[in-house]
Amino acid sequence: MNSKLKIDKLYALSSESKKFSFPMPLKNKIKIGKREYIVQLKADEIYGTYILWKNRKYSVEVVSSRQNKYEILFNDISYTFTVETPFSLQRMKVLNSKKGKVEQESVKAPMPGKIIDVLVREGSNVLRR
Amino acid sequence: MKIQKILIANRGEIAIRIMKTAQMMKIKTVAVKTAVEPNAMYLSFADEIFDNTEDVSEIPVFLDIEKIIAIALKTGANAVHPGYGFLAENAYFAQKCLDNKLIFIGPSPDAIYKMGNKTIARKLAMQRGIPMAMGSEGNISNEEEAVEIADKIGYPVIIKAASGGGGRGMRIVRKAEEMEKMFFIASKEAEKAFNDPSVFIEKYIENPKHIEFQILGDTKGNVIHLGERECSIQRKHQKLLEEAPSCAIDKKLRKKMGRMAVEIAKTVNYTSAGTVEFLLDSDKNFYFMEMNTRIQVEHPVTEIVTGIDLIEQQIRIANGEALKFHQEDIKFTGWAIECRINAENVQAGFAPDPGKIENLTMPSEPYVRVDTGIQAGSSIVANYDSMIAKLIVSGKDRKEAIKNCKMALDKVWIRGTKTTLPFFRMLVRNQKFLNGSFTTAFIEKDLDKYYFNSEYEKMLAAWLATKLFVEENLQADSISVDFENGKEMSPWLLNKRINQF
Repeated sequence: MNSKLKIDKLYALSSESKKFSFPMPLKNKIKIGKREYIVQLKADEIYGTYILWKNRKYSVEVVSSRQNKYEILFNDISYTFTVETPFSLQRMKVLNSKKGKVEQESVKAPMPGKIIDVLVREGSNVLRR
Repeated sequence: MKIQKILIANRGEIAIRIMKTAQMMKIKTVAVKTAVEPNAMYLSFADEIFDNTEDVSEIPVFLDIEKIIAIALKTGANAVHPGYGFLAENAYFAQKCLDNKLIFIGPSPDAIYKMGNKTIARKLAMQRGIPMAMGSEGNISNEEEAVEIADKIGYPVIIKAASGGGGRGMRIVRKAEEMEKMFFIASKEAEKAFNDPSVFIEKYIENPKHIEFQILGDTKGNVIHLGERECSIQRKHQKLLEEAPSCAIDKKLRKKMGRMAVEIAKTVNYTSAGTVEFLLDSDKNFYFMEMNTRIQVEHPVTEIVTGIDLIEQQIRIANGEALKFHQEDIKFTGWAIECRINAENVQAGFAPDPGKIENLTMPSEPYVRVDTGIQAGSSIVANYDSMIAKLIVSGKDRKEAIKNCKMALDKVWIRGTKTTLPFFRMLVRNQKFLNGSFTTAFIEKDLDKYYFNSEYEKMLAAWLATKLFVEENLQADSISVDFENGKEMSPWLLNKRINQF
């Protein structure tokens, strides 16, 4: 029986490898130093969708979203983020650390057929059951 | 005969700009409707529209001399204003207008020809003792001759198109080995852009300021200048921001350069509005570069600091009226900055980003003037330039103008295409721009990145990405959080997630 684990944080990783962490559940408040500031996602007919932050409107647009990857146009600047849970972030670190360490090896399939997908990648372990 | 009806041989913001002044002067206007922009904003400002949408020629109508003349005659216009670009500096077009008894609102064909041909312009300036960068006396015919001249004047040199402008047909050569290739490229580019492969050579002035003087000349022989514009913020010879006056020019230098600019205009009996461009080096030596025989994109900054409507002056001069002011009457008040908001992606090296403008909101503060031919629903089409609007901001001095500019930039709201706004937001915070020590090399040499984004902005964008993730995944329960326990998980989902890396 599966039991759900509470995610206490999410991370947004920018394409420049900058990490932003946000406590869960996600609030409409962002803490900077000791102060918390309200951030609101709004939309109206004049401005379309925007973020209101410290009494200033910033135009926002979601250019694309694919799985956990988002391209966002914020105040005319384009950003790409991947959003990670603590576990997926840890796994990514492990996978990245093992990159390039695995030697290539040919594997013969026990049954002939057409490969439609490969469910492993470099760094995965094959264990005897 | 006085001007009664003007055919505007142009489009976009400059067409509107001309029509506004014409209306103020109670002169009728005709605009040309094209198939590329059948719903363009400029059409709504005209008294009359000539429908040219059935013309499927590949050459834009604004470049088709015969067609423009025919439209003018057909619509009963007795004058033509070419605006800038297109046929504005085409001597043949100006002559054709005169041949057809149409008043060309601009200088004489002779002045356009002489100043349009850079080698003739150089000769004329040289005869009048105007300071110039050393260079070839006329056009050069091959790379051997180019190397010979460059050896004499010293490297670096710049090859320029004799009939050129706007940075096309220009190449900098730093050593003799580069000459053959650069000569070929410049000449080919000149031929393609101006139908004339002629090029000449000048000593290349490293890191200068681009300073230009606004000229007004009437048919009675009066020529005056309206001060300078600082146009050093440019990328690949394309201006992005202009201001008036320039913080590099004091009263004494303004007087000296202005006198030279007037002198150059007088060599061709210049009439109408024109611009004399100079390069200014770090020792405040200035060199004549060229004269543009048209109204400039950046003319509003001069209008703001002088209070003179340049389009009105062009029309009055074309009507044969004498200038109503002398040089000593020209007073400069305050400071003005113009930002060219183009549909370009600054994060991709200013690559054009054409598309439909979904939303356009511009500031309306008293210190802001907006010249635009674009509104919500308009498209920035690849056929024409990528300008969306000119944001012109004023202040009592440079400091206040920059402060106002910073505030105004935050109030510009454009959706649908990427724009040069992030570049200007960076610029008004840049120390070199603020202290005025920038040169034409500023964008290429002094900037690490072309745009401004604060750490807060990055964080807010990250917050939005996280919010989207939460809304799409966690709340919908589509991500199995059990996975966090390392328990059983579908290999398909595992694969999907692994592939994300």
